[in-house]
Amino acid sequence: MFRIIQMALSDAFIYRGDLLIFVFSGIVRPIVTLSVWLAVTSSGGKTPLTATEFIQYYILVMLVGVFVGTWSSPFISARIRSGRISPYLIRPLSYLVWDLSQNIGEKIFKFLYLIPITVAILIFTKVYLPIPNMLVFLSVCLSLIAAGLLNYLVDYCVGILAFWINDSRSFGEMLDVAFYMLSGKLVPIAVLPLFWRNMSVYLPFRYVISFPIEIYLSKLTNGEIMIGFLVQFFWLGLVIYIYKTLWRFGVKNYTAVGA
Amino acid sequence: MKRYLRLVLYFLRYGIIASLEFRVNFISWAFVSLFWSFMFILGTELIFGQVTTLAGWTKNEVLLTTSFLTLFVGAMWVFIFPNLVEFSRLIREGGLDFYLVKPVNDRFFVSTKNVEYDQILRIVAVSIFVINLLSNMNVRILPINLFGSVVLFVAGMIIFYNIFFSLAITNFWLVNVHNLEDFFHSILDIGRYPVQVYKGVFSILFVYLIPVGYVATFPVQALLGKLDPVYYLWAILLIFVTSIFSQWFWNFALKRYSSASS
Repeated sequence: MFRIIQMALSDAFIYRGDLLIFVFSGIVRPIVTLSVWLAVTSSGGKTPLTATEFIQYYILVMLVGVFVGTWSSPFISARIRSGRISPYLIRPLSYLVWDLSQNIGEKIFKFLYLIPITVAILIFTKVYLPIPNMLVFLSVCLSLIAAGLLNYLVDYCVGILAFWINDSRSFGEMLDVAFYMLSGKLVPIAVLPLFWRNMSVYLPFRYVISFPIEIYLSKLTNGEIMIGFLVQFFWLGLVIYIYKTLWRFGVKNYTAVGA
Repeated sequence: MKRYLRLVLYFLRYGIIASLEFRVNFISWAFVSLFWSFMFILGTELIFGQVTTLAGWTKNEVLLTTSFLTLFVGAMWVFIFPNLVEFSRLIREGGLDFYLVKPVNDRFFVSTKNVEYDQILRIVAVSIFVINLLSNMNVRILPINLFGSVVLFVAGMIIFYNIFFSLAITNFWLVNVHNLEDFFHSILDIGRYPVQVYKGVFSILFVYLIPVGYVATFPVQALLGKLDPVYYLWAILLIFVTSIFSQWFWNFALKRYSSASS
């Protein structure tokens, strides 16, 4: 696996211009939304978070957003449609491992850009990020890895739909809209209407962005963290099951149509 | 001149045919873009919560700005972005020669040939929303203000077309940059809220240098009759400057291109 990531890093190096642009895209929306929140707080509006908390939150959204980011589905769909998936039909795991390491490799590069930008923002706004104790740190790491895998596999499954649907991207986009609203990316979940705030505990979206952030900022009791992990791992397990099922039926369907 | 006009009409018609050919695709993307637009409008509603004004703007005025951005981006996706994306690809993959030898002005051809109507539903729906919003706001829209608003809107499209065209030309040298359209989209996103929201150096940056004010803020202000006329002059200046620069840059790139390949 280590060699694969090394190769992925050298692949990613070729795309370093693209990756810079992707990082830029990843920070623009949070910063724009943050600017509006700051304008609201400075004109004396009542908000669920203080200005400093908003800045902390959106910086974390930037970081977590890039960490869990995934973009594989159009490539998988293209491979399936063009037939280039054929070598992997019997050994699907090798493609997943390769694609995942490409993903990780590109993310390492993205963070090379992102970390100095984040530090600059922290210095500029004179906001600090709390240093966690060991337990919080480990919980955050665990939730981040689960979040990344969850997001990755959901996107992967959308890509696999190409076995049946010609263009599954629009379905993926609709998931993206729901995700953007309910995961904490657009606004903190605490700002959402009560109904959606409650729903977000059961839906998978919160566990991709907001959950790790909530643990890190000590917004959850230990009990809530445990329940959160249970729900997060439930969804992760479900998506793994969906992935395996989709792949199995997809391959059967595929080889029947091909030859 | 007539030849160019005929070409434009042909491209407009062809875009419709192309959209209708992939009907399911067209419909599903139309709905997706619709959801995205209303999600951003919803986001604005959520942020406003208890506040009535924001940097001198009321909630409805801010909603108007967010909607105008959606319309602007929608219009860019119909007329401009598909061409810039293909232009970028042609430069990187070397297919530009085909268009350079045509008896029509190459920049015109490359910039107008693709018209994609996927965003039409979003544009129509958000326009209805805007009209509804304006009637709720109890504001009288004077024809002169409406005209001014449209002028600034179109000016914004021209200015950003020039800026993005120039950026796409960098593909001659930055051969490994494939996703300029993401970059363009992000830049326009900055204009989602009134530019007065940005403080200090950023507000100067976004009014004069990367003039995102023109994608939504200024057209809205013009519509409501609140715009300082100097912004019209600045828009004209920007159109001139960006047009001249992008044309110069294009010629510069072409000269080096034809001397390199051949």
